Amino acid sequence: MTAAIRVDHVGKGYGDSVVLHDVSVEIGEGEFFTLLGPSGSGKSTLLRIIAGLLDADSGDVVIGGRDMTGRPAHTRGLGVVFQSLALFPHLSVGDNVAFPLRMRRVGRKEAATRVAAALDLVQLPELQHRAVSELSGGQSQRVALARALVYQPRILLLDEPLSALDRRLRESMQLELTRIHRELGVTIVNVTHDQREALIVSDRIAVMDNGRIVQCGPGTELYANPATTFVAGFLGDPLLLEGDVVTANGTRALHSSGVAVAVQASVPLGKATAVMRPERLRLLAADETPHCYDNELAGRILFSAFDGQGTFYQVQLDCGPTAAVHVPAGRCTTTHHVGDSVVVAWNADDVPIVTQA
Amino acid sequence: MKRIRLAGIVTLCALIPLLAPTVLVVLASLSQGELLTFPPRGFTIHWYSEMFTNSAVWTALGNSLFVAGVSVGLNILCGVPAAIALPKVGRYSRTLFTVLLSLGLSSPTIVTAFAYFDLYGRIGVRGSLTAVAVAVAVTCFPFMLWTVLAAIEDTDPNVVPAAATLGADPVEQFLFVRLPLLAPGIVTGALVVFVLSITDFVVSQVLTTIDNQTLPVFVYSGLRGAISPALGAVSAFFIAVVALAFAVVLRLGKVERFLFRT
Amino acid sequence: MHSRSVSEQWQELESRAASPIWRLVDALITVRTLFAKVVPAALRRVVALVPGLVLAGSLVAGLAVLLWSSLHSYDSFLAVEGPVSLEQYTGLIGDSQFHTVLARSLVMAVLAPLVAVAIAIPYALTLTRVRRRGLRLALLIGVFVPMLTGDITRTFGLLVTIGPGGPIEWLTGLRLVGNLWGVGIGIVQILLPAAVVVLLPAVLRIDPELGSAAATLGARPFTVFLRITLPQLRVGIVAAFAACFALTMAAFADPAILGRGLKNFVSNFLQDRYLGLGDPPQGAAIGILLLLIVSIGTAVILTVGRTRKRRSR
Repeated sequence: MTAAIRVDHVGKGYGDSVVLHDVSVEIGEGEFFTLLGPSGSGKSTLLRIIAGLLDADSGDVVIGGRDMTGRPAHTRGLGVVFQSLALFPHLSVGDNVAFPLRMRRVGRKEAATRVAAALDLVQLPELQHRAVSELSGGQSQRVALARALVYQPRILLLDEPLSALDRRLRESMQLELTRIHRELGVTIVNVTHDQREALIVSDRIAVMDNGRIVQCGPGTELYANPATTFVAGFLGDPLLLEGDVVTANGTRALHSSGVAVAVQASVPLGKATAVMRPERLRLLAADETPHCYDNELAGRILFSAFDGQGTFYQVQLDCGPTAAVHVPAGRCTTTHHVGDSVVVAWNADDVPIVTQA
Repeated sequence: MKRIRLAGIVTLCALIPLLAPTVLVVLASLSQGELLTFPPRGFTIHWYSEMFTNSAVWTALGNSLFVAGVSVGLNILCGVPAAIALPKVGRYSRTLFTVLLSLGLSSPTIVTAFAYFDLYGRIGVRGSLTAVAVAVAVTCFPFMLWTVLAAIEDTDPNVVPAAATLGADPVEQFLFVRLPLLAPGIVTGALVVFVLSITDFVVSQVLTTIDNQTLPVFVYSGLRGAISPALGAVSAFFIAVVALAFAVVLRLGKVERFLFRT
Repeated sequence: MHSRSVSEQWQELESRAASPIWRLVDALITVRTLFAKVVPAALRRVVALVPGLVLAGSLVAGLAVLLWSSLHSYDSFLAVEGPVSLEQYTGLIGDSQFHTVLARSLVMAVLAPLVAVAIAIPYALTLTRVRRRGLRLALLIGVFVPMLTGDITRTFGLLVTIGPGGPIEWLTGLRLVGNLWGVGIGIVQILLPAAVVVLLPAVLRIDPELGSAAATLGARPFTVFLRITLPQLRVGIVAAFAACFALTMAAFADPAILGRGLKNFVSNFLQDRYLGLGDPPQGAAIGILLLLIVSIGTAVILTVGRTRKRRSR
């Protein structure tokens, strides 16, 4: 895949604080790429630099093979949707969507046709004459998208456009975005702090922390093999167990506060963290002991709650720490009650180990 | 809530003395007799007809309109670009601007008037109505600036960058996005400046001469504080102007948004 | 974007670039691009400030000139300025008339703001809490119209109301014109809108939950007002007081018209000496002194207000 966007050693700072440290990334054509990170990680700053709204202090931005460093935003021909949507309140929906065409001197009739097509794409037909103030949250989203797509840019930049929506609307818009991505084949760079959204929509994710890209790759890769504890902690809600990986009796295990977690032989020795994701652990009844799991720890149920997708259990392990286990709802699962003796079980490849550098 | 009721009572008590003089002025302008007495003795529009047939009144009104017009023009030309640029310029320029502006605000009006009197005397423009208009414009400048800055704060800061990403050159960003969004704020500011300029008294009475008095000065010098219904007619005229301006600003919906934004 | 920069893909379609409006826009874009090439970025941003700076700067120029004038002696007989000296200032320090006028102004500048702020606080509180638009509008009109109609109309209205032949005199027999009561009423009338405007942001920032919390803990409404609402308004109150102080010291029309020239303030005194007596340098000195007093007074009020805040902790 040829690179649609290449960011080369970009740095940006304000006064004493550095917002971006030497960031480099390549985004391929047609990719749905997400910049994921907490607030202050620099992801919006990076997006604005790509858009041309901010100048980087150092480094280059190459878009479509052309060096865009220093070129103002209005010459870059990208599509951008802002978090606040930034619809023009003094123009109707139709005039909003037609705005970029006006800037390109497109005639009235041609513009009207293209506006209608763009509104059809976002499934808001016949809304041209509506005032911006009369739109609902979801409709405003779609109009902002239509406006950014009407002039058929090769690249679409999204700056947390869904964060102001309530959960249901957000989830339907996420699917909308993937549909539009498929239909148009446009390269999308999405900025979000919602890891669930990132996993659902993206081809590749770059996790950012404090102005640096910590890991970049498909969601499945980041989930299964997090490079750092930050990435591990950011995706999902795992328990992080810190300890030392040692060899004993021919097997490798991570020792942490009285617990010995068997790990794969390929895991290097030394300080490491086990990423125990609640959805990858299994809960067995105390008397049910098939002994076919790499790891089995006995304990007692402290707390249980049904959350719609399954049951969440908090287990007090006999060896000390508490573990969180999430059991998906299903016909063949047994329900455990508070106080029950259980065994928390998992295989070595269910729990990724992050080696401390 | 009891607190609201007590506050409400105090407020209503304040409203009556605040609005009563205005109402009484209008009544006064319609009452017969040279001097005002209470209760009024009969109604007449005699004073209005006298005001409208007096050519000196028309000249003075013309002068006031000229001063107000120049003041509005100057304030728009200086205030709008300044308000747009102020959030974007560096620390130095912004501090300089704020200091200059504060000086203008904190300087007592009479001192401002005589500062210009002295200055104009030295550069030889004493007696020019345009010079008077400049001085009046300066006293109104902080209001214009405040109004336009508030209008800018009110708009989504992403709107102009959005226009840029959509392909709008800075010229187009200004003409097609920024200006239309600021228009109500500019109109409000212009109206406030117009009203303040046309009713200005302190600065005008120092800087104008016998030959180019504005309406408030004309009225004051002609009557020297004697309570006469003729004064009432002119005052009622000013009240009408303010009421009209207020109505327009309300129509634009800006009054409450300016005052009640946090 | 300039019609020439539009990509071919769009230029092939029906275009409106030829229409007059867009030709004008293109011309303006060309001008701006040239301007941007010639003038460096930092300077460009300042350009927009220049007209405003010049306008505000003209006042500074005038004040500087006034200061210069005040530093000369004056021969009123020959109507000519003498050499540089501090004569005007030393003269004023010993001038008993100036003392009277200054004392009168200062006393009023402390009392009137107290009254105005005391009225403005409940006024602003009510303004932010009424639900009905009509009532809120009436409150806004009530407070701003007197200020907007100008000094002449406003004082004339008061003259009609509280002066001889007016309803107040008819009802109560009180003589309010020609003395400090009338002047004071007029000054409070002009201070009220300023105090309300300064207090509004502070009132809007009041956290209603603090009051509710206090109420659930057993505090009576008046206690809530005194110990919860008022402290939150402290900064606004101090600022309002400072603004009212400055405005009272600047009062001109109210003493002149409602005081009938019998109770002059420093502003009237200035005009009398400058134009009435025809002594420009003395008038200038009075003006500079007035400016200094207002600036120092405002600074004192703001600093005292701030330290009191710290002490209460």
